[in-house]
Amino acid sequence: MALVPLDPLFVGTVVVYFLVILGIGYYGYVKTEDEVDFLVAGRSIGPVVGGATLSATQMSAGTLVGTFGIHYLLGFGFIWIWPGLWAGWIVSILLVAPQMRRFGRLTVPDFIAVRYGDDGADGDYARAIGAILIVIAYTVYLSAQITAGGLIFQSLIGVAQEIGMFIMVLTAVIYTSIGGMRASILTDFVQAVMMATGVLVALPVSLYFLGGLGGINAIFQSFQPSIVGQALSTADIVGFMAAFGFSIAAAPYEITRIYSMRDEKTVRQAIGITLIFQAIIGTSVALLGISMRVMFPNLSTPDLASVIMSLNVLGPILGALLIAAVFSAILSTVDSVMIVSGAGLAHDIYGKLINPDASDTRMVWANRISVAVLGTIPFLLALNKGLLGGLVQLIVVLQASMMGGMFFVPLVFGLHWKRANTLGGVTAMITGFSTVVIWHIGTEIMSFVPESLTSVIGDPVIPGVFVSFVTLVAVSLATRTPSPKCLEPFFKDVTVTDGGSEE
Amino acid sequence: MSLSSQLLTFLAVAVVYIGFTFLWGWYKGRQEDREEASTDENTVDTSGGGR
Repeated sequence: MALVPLDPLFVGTVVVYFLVILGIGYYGYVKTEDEVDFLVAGRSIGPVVGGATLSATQMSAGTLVGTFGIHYLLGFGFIWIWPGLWAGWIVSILLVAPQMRRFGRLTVPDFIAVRYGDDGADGDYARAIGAILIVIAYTVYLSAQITAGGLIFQSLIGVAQEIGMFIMVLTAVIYTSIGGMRASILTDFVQAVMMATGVLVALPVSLYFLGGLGGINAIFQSFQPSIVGQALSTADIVGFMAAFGFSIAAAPYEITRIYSMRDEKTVRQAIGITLIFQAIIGTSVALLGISMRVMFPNLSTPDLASVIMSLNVLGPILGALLIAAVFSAILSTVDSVMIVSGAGLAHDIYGKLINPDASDTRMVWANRISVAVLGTIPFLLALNKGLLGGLVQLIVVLQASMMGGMFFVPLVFGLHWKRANTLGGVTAMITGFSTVVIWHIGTEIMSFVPESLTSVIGDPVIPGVFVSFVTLVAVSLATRTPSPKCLEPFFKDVTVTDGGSEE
Repeated sequence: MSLSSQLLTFLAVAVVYIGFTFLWGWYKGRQEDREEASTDENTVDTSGGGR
């Protein structure tokens, strides 16, 4: 059942929003001629649109549903995860993003295939392993977004959550598979602006109702000071910071955006702009989350906090704006992840291993079909929520941990340590990923990791990155040095001569 | 710590991150422009002064 009867103005605003998004998808379709257009928008993106797309991609349902809900549940202190995440962006601007833009291919597995290309198949095996791991981690991520979408539809119009999930998947699959990266980036721009506007407009209205910051502070200081203080342990906060920080520096969906930008200068400016977007949205979401705790202290699930706010507090137009912002957050991440995940199947496995002679048109269609297939699997996973844990934010963190565990070390060391070789890089990816998965099972599902460890290590990304680092260094040092052809694209002082030797 | 002080501390941290990012971008951009200019000069020199 719907939570409240919907105002026609509210419904109209949300419908117009969806039509605009689908219209942009059609525009992207018209402009897409080949795979470079489909996957990296012809490398034409400037700093402002670039910054907006990095923001919209990163801030998903995890932010406007999950983070909002966690603030509702635990209070303002959760805001300190952001500096951890931004540390990931600082690592990216210093050590990853400009270097990856200079390299300038289409996908992260393209990097793996070149840098870790001494596998006897010109890097195609290494590429396939990277692509498969990305598809698995992003399937988990998409299921969180779809779960959130279903929950919102259920709250808004009273349909079953499964039907809501289906509507979300269908919308995202249609505009992403026809419009590709160009549509995805343009909708991201609209969506980032919607998110920032939505929360910025909602914040003063909500503070006005509660007597400002002082009013909220006074209410909680008297009976639950942890809501305006810190409810989480230091290990938990550090764990969340590490999960987001490690993953964002190596996130394939952000790196694909970086490939789409004009040049390295654009990349640096775009990262600065995304931090501004994130500071605005992160601060607003934290304050709105605790405001909702005052106004509606007994919600059935914290993930509903942002939806309830838009329906009950903000009135039809502002409410619709915030709901559109929530849908924006979900769709902008879903489209980016679908493109990256689809490219893992189409570009990295089909195009490189199965049918290397495929025409441009065939490759674009292979990408479109992959997007459709990879939208369906997480939908099925989302129907079985128990497997991944309940709350949206926690599923998002699990995906972030997987991504950080498998890619952070191979990416950063691959770009800056010449001795890192193929065997080291590939085993580091596999062991990092496996450690995160085993740790998650051992703590969340089967409880075989001792409590003495879990009380100190707040997130599986920490052991994941550690194991990945040790494996990369140990295996690389114990085996042959990489060939010059794997190093030349990344190190200015290495060139390949005709005989294949290093100069 | 009150909510306002927490908020101000957080915003101050955000400003440090954002400031660093733009400063680094500006510094690296200038460095790359200089490198590009010196590469161009060398190219002109080796081609006999450009005339």
